[in-house]
Amino acid sequence: MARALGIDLGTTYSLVAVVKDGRAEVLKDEHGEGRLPSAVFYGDDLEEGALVGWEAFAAERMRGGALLTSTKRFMGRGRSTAQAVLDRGARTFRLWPAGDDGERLVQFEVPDGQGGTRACTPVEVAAYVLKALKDRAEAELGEEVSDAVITVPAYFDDAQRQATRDAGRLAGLHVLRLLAEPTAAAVAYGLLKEAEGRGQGTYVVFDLGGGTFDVSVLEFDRGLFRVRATSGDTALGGDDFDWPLAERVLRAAGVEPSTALPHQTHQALAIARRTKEALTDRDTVDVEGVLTVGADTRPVTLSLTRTELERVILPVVNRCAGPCERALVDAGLTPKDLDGVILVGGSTRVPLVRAFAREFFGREPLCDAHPDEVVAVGAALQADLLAGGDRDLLLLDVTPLSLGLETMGGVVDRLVPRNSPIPCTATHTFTTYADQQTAMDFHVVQGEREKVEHCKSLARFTLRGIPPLGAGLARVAVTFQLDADGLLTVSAREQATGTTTAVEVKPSYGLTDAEVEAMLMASLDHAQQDIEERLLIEKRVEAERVLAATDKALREDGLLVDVEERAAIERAAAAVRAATRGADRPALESAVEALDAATQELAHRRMSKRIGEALDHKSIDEVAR
Amino acid sequence: MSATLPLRCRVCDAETDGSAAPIACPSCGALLPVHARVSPFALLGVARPRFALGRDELERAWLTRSRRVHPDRFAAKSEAERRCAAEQVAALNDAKRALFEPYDRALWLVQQASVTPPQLAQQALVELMEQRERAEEDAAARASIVDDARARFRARLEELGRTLAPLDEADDGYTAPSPPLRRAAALLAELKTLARLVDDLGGGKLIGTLDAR
Ligand SMILES: [Zn+2]
Repeated sequence: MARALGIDLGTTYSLVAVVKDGRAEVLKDEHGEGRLPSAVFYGDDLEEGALVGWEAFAAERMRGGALLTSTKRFMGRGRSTAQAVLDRGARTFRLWPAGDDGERLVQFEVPDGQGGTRACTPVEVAAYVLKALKDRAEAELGEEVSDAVITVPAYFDDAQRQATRDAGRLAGLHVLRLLAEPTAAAVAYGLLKEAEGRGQGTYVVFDLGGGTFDVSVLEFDRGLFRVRATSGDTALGGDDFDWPLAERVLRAAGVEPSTALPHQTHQALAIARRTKEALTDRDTVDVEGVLTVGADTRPVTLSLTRTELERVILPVVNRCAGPCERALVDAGLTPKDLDGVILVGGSTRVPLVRAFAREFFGREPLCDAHPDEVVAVGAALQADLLAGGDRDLLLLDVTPLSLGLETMGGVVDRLVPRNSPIPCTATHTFTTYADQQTAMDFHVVQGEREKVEHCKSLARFTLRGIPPLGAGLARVAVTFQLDADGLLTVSAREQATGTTTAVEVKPSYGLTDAEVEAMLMASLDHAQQDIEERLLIEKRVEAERVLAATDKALREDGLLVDVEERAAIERAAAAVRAATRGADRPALESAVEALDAATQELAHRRMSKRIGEALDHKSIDEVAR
Repeated sequence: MSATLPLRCRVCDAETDGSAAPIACPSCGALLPVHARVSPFALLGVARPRFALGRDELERAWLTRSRRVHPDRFAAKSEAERRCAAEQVAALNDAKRALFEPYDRALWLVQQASVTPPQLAQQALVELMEQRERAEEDAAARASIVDDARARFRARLEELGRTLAPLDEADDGYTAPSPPLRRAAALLAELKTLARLVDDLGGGKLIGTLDAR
């Protein structure tokens, strides 16, 4: 049986675990440390690529370059998310200048190792971290391992999950499953308790990491783990505690936070983090560190009491209340129905966070699981099962956010409500709203709000080739398929004629499959994407679809057009074919439109013919089906 | 309703009747696929479509079957069985979504019998719009309007149960349009509108969620 890894890809730290002789174990580095900082350093003179983890921090102190940390916050997110972090003041990175289509994805500016700079995505950063963990596991196990379960925050949306999956692929991993972090933690905890004969009950997993917060209500019963409800905030975490403290450090060293250089901000954040950690078991601390200012190294001391720290972080901690409330309500439970509250994530070491959990759930939280390791351990257990291991374990997870389509007036038509068990499918049928309508636009959204503009837009697509009929006569069935990873595939199918036109859309967060492929080919070191190129690739795919449909129509119903019409269609098709070989996107767009127009009449006649045939053999009822 | 649905085992090719959503092939024991037209009731172990069902009962049936057909249990099996497991669990989860909430269950039954929920009567619509306007103008009245709408929602839901009860007892209660089903469709239209009013006024969702409220 092939081995499979369990990877906790965290905001601040990442870990890898594997099952050996039936037991899951976190793999350590040569210093006995299991945690690998989720940090990547791109050096000015590092032609060979990048440095990962502790080495990345060490390198930044010695040489010029860009250190990227906490980039999980930007996985699958738009550029404005990163801009908001910069605007708030934590300037630990530089954004790559936006192109025309700049809103779509976050890109950092990093040295290319040859004296210039290049763009780099959060997916690439995550891939470096994953690759380092894969290397660690292979060195430890003495064999090649590519299968892995990677954990994601339960509240990650589709784009964030896609981005994580792509990072795995880029790192050379075969991702068996994306597993929700609190579910993974519950598995590790539940199996631990089961060994003690107490493996039953309803638990809340309170998971506060560096950058994300999840709260899940789970039931376990002899190896069966069932998520009842899940909620969270993918922009809330321990990192938010650090920045106000880092600002004090910068000011103490005479650096204005809003104009601090990235490496100064990193230094200040490191001191802030050490201070926070020191205050978990002391009431007052003086933490010393250094800040580089020009050619100087300035010593700085941050003196803080726990009371002061708590005053600073209280507003952040209080933001956990909303998701906790909603998870309980969605599960139909009150705190007294629970058998326990499990704390997960490094940030739950902060005494104020523990106090919050104690107060909210009205009980002392359980601390007998290792908050840093429990997620990786649970992932390893699930990985072992998926690799064919014999284990009495079954996870039944849910989708955290509702999925739907935009309908008239910008209202969301919900196909899959939140907390639906996954995997699942859902189909809705739509009819055309205009006479002779041959295309229908769809907008796929994710979120809980009624109005489209308040939900997250996942994808837009157009179904073409609908036979031109009177309004309301053509019917299109849209199917949502949500897989075990929580990833969505949408397809649309025209039904009225029995001829089918289907398109499949994988919601994109800025990278297409083709682009990820291209990144793989170009290898990590030179991975670079050009937005214009991506749009061109998408357009080419669409053009090929239209060409295939045209060929099919001519093949099946070539007799419906006369010689001149046929020549016109073939000319238009040839123009599209020529344009797909070029790199001029607007030219390709207009060629596709021209082909659409040239085939309009043929589509109409095909439709009439189909109806005629159908009426000859069937009742109207069946035709309209 | 109880017509047989021929189902072919993908491992040994034996044919079985898929209408009761069997799990394992009687000939070779392999996991079976799910027939595309199998009823969600059959998947949840309910022999005949009916409205009156307990949530706990459905929940138990869903869990028991999930344990048996979940793809993670078939990770080491053949590609054919793995695909069957994926189909089984997706169909099972779809059945849960279709039947768990009384509103959704009634909607399924009504549509199954080719009855379409009608537009709400003009008068009821006007009344609802007035209430919405009143709640928007007068914050003090809002809470009582939401409470009233919820009470009406509960009352209509109970009426829905009473309306469909005789059909639950008949052998073919849900196979063709009938006066009780038309009445049920009208009630569904009203329930939907009431739920919309409550949601718009910030009172939370009464339908369209799987939350265990
Ligand atoms: Zn068989």
